Amino acid sequence: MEKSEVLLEVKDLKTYFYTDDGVVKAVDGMSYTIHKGEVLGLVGESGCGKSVSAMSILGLIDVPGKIVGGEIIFKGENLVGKTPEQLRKIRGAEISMIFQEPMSALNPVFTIGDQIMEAILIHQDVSEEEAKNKTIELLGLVGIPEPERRFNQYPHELSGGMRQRVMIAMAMSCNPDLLISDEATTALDVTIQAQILELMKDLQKRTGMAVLFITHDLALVAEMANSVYVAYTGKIVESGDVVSIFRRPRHPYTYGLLSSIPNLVSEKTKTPLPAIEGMVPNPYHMPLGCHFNPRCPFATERCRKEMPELAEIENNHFVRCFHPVLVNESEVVS
Amino acid sequence: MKKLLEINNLVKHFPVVGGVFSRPIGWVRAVDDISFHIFEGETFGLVGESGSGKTTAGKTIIKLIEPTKGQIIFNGIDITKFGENKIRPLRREMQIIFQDPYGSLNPRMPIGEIIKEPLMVHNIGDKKEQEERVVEIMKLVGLRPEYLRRYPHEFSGGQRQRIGIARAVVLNPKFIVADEPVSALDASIQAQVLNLLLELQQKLALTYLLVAHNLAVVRHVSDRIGVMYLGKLVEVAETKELFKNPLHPYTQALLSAIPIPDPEIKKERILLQGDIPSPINPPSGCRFRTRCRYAKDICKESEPPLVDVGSGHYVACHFVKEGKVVEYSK
Repeated sequence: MEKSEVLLEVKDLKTYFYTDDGVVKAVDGMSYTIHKGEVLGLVGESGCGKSVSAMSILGLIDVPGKIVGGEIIFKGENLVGKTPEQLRKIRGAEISMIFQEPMSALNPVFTIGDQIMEAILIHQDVSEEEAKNKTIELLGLVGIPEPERRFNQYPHELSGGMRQRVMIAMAMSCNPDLLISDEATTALDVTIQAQILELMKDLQKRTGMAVLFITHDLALVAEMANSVYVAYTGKIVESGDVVSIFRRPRHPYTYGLLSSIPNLVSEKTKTPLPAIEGMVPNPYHMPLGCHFNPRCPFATERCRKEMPELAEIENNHFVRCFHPVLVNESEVVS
Repeated sequence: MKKLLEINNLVKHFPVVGGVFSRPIGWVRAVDDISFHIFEGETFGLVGESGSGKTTAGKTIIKLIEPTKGQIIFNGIDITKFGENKIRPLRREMQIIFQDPYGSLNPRMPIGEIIKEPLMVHNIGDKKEQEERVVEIMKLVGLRPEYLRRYPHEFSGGQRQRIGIARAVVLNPKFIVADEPVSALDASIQAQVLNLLLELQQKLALTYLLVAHNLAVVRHVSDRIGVMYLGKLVEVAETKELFKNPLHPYTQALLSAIPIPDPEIKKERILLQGDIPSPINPPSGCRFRTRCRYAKDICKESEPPLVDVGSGHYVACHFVKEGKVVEYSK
C-alpha cells in the first residue's frame, strides 16, 4: 500500500513510573508511525505499554509517571515538552480519544448533549445554538435514535453501547485528525461491539481521520487495522502490514499468540491449545536479554544476554528477534 | 448416555424493590422457564450476552441461588427443594469456578488453607491426609507445592485461577460450573487455563457447565451449546452443528458478529439493531422479536416453544419449522 503523509511519529518514547518499589519502564523505547487516514493497530497484553503510550501522546501522564525520553511528532511538532495549555488545545480538537469504560469518562451530572456541546464550544468559534445543532447532528451520525430527545438525557439513562456512541460523537465533534481508541469495545457485548466497529469504520472512511486502535484482541486488529504493531513489556516486538503479520508472523510471541487463541474453524476442538508457557515478567524484575526469552521455545544463550534490535526482515516487516520463526502460511489461523 | 443433570422449566425472578417499605415493585425475570440436560462427562456451554441470564442459570442449577420455580435433578435426585442441610453433602459433588480470580479468594488466607478449606468443611481425612491432598491437588493444577504458604496477592491472574480450580476439584466433584473462567485473563494465559480444564476433565471424569460469552472459547471446549437470550434458551445443539447450521435468528446474528483473526476474510455481518431489552419488562411473545429481521405479528402474540428439529438440535422460533429463516452462510 502506498503510504500517505506522516501524521504522527512516536520516536523512541520512554515513559517510566517511579514508584516506591522501583522504576517501571512501562514504555521503553517504543516507536511507531501513523500516516494520514491510516488505522494503526497497537496490540498486546496487560502491561505491554500500549495504553501508557497513548496517554503519553495526549500528555496525560501524571506523577509518578514521566516521559523520560523520545519524541512525539504530531504534524511536524514535538508534543513532548509542550505546556499543559498548549496540549489542551490539541487534545479534543486535533487528537481525541475513546476509552474502554464510557460510564467513567462521562460526567454523570450533566446531560450528554451538554457534554458534547462543551467540547464544541471550547474548541470551535461557534454560537451556543450552532453548537447545539451540531451536537444533535453528531448524535444522529453515530446512530443514536431520536437525537433531540437523547440530547437531554443523562449518561445513566443509556445502555453501554449507547454511551460508547456518545463518546464517539464527542470525540468526532471537532473533526480530529487522529482518533485514539483504547479498548473501546472491550466492555461491550459481541453484537454491540459489531455495531460500534462498523460505526468506527464508517466514520473513518467518511472523514479520512487516522485511528490509533489499541486492543488486546488480535481478531479486532485483523478486522480494523491496515498496519499492526505488537508490543511486549514496553517495546515493539514486531510490526508490519496487517496481512503479513497474520499470514507470516515472525516473532515467536506473535506466532504463539496467534496459534493459541481458539478460533471458529479449527477441527482440533477439545484438544490442548498450543499455549505460550509462563507469564509476562514482573515489571520490577525484567529478564536480561530479550524480555520474551523465559517463555520462548527458541531462546538461546544469546537471547538470555542481549536485547535484539528491531530489524527489517522483509519489506516493511520488522521483528525484534535473533531467531525469527519461519512459518508455513497455512499453519497459522487455519 | 446418562443424564447427570436435568433442568425442567427452571425460573428465577429477582424482586425489584422500591418505595418506603421496600416492597417488590417489579421482577427481574433473569431466568424464565428454561429446560435442558447435561450428560455425564460432557461439557455443556451456556452462551449469551450480558443480561441473558446465563450466570444466574449456572448458579441456580447448583443451588447457590434458590430457584423460583421448576425442577433440578442432579444424578437422579430432585434437589430443587433441598434446604441448606440436605444440600451440603451434595456440594461435594458440585463445585463452581468464578470469573474473577482476584475477588473470589480470601486475601488473608494462605493458598494452602484456601485449597484445604473444603476438606475441613466436609470433615474429610485427618490433618495429615488433608495436607497431602492439598499438595497433590496443587501439583495437579500446575501450582508449585512450596508456594502453599503464600497469599493470593503474590500470584498472577492465571495462577490465581489455578488456585480457584484447585479448590473446586479438591473434593473430587462430579460436576463443575465454570462461570467465565478465562475472560479476565490475558490471551496467552487463557490457553493455559483452558488446557488445564480439558486435562482435568479427562483425568477426573468431570462434567462441566461452561458459562461464557466468548464463543470461540466455548466452541473449543464444549460438546453441546445452549444459547440464551433475555432469560430464555433459544437454541441448543451439538457444537459442530450449532456453528455449521445455526437456526435461530439470534444465534445467526451472534455468530456473525464474532470477529475473525484473519484480515483476508471479510465476513457478511448480520447487524442487530438496538440493545437487549430490559428483563424487568421483556417483550411479549418471542423476546427477540424487537431486534429480529424476520419478526411478524405471530412473534408478538405467542411465545415460540423450544422444539426438536432433529438429532438433538432444539430451536425456539416460529419460522424455523416452516423453513422461512434463510439459511445462514459463512
